[in-house]
Amino acid sequence: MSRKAKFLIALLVLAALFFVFISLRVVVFKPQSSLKLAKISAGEYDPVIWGKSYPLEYKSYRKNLEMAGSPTGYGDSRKIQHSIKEPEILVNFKGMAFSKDYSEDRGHPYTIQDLKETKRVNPNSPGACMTCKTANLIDIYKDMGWTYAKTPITQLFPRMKHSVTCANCHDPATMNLRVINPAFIEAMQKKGIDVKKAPREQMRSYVCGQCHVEYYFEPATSRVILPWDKGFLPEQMYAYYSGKPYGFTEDWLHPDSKARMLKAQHPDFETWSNGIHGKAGVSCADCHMPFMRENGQKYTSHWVTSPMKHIKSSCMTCHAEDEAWLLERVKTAQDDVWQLQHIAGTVTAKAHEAIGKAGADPEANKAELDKAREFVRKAQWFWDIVAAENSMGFHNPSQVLNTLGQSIDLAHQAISTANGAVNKHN
Amino acid sequence: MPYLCSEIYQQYTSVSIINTFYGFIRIQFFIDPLNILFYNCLQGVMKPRLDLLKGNNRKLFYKPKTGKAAWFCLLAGIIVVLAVVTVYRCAGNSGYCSLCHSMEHVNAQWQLSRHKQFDCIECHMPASSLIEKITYKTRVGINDIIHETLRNYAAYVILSSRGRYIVNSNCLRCHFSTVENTKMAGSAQSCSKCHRNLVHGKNLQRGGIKIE
Repeated sequence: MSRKAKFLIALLVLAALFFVFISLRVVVFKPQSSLKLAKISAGEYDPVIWGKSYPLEYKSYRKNLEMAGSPTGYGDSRKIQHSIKEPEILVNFKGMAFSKDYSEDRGHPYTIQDLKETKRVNPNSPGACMTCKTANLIDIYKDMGWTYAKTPITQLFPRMKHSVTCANCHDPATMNLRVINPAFIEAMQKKGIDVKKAPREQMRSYVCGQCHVEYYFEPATSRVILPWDKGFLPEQMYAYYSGKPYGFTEDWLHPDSKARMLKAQHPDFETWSNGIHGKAGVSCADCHMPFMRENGQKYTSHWVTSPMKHIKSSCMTCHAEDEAWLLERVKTAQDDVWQLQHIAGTVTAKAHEAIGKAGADPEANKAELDKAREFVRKAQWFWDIVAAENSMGFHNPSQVLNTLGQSIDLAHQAISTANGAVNKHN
Repeated sequence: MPYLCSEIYQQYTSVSIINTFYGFIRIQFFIDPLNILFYNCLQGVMKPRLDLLKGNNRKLFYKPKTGKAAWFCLLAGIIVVLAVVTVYRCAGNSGYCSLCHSMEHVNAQWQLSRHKQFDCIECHMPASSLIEKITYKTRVGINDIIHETLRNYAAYVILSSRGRYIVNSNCLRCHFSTVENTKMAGSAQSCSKCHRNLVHGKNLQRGGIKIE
């Protein structure tokens, strides 16, 4: 055989081998389409152990440690004080812990560390504060029931070994989604929903909603309660609080205006559920935990962050527009909300000052002053329920803008009523 | 990228002229246009263009083979053409498309859709000349094989703007008369922007990751 022929044959064999390799890799030895259930005991809350069996999910969960800003400029996972950008916070939360320390929140792995570091919590703070901070809540609630809520938090610290981890949302026996926050389970029960029987698509929102909601502590027991009896809208929750549920009247008394104030906390779930995405059945996980692939293996991203960091996976599975266009739409919605939120907060701060000034006058009309205090309480609630929410309005832009509009009007009414209380006398 | 409906229609009509041409040939020979190549190949081997082989031009033109060599060429030609036709035909099958791991989900959704009687290529291949079809198929096929081998495809494959344009043209291939007299035809619209869930379902229905 000539050299040429040998070379040709060798080339042919190589090409054939290459063809076989590619066919085998593409058609025969495909990446897995399913996951194998691992044996993890019910009391295991360490994400490292879970991560050994579910490495891709764990790897993405570790990204929650990252501290960075968001592409739209709203929301951050670095500890930055909100009051730098919004100084009105210092006036509006005067006399309570949020004026001392109110920073951007970091990712789920930091919950315990941040709970221990924040100036809002002191050794005598109730155990209820740790409800959403640890996977060990499962055992603590099993042992103590709601009595843990009244127990000083420092007594519970030794039992809190792990932050918000896999077990908060997954049952290790089946890997199905589950919720563990007793307050959420009770609140849903009141609404006639059994979270144990909820379909997967709803669970993909409930697991987030079990914590990302508005709540208050029952005065006598410190039990966590979600104020949903009248509905999810800011005015419905306000009406609920006005009924003084379980003797709950206020979170604190504002030192300037002497108004009985309410503090709103991150109502992400409520805001989303009435929004366009919520109503269309798009779950929290669809955007915040989209499907990703590594080596062809599909997995759910457990990096719970701004969907703007992965628009392709989060938005473009439904929206046909390009990335820049989508980012611009989100940024526009957030810019609009930010502008009004800042106005609402500032006017509310001015209302506190005006009422404080009027209240200092011993001959001011008491009934009018009380009216002004009610106005400022409501104005601040409408501002805070938006400001405390995590999406800068994107979870429901139209509703949020409506809420802020009402807040601004109520704050102005508070100012004019306070001024009237003094002028009438004159 | 949005396209004018009317633009697409114009292109579609020019395409249809080519298709009519192919149709004519198809009727003439009772075979597929691709088989024309095969037919011409046979002709080329058996009846070389002797008229061009006169005088000094001899060197410049293809010299007909004779004897054993001619039969070898004929056989090789038949094999090559048959292989090309077979590959082209098989690669147009939806079952072939779904062999790829990245296509499993879209394939499952398509089978539940109201367009399940149409193969993948009827929407995802340009409805134009055969040459364009073959070049497109080759280019896209190579791209698919590279990414399937490297396994670096996305969780949910998104159409490129060219791909979207092709799909849109194919919607109009059948449905143009439906939108012809509406405002949609005059403005920059893409069918799949609104009818995005028509064939490959909603995100919700795609399901998650099975655990065994």
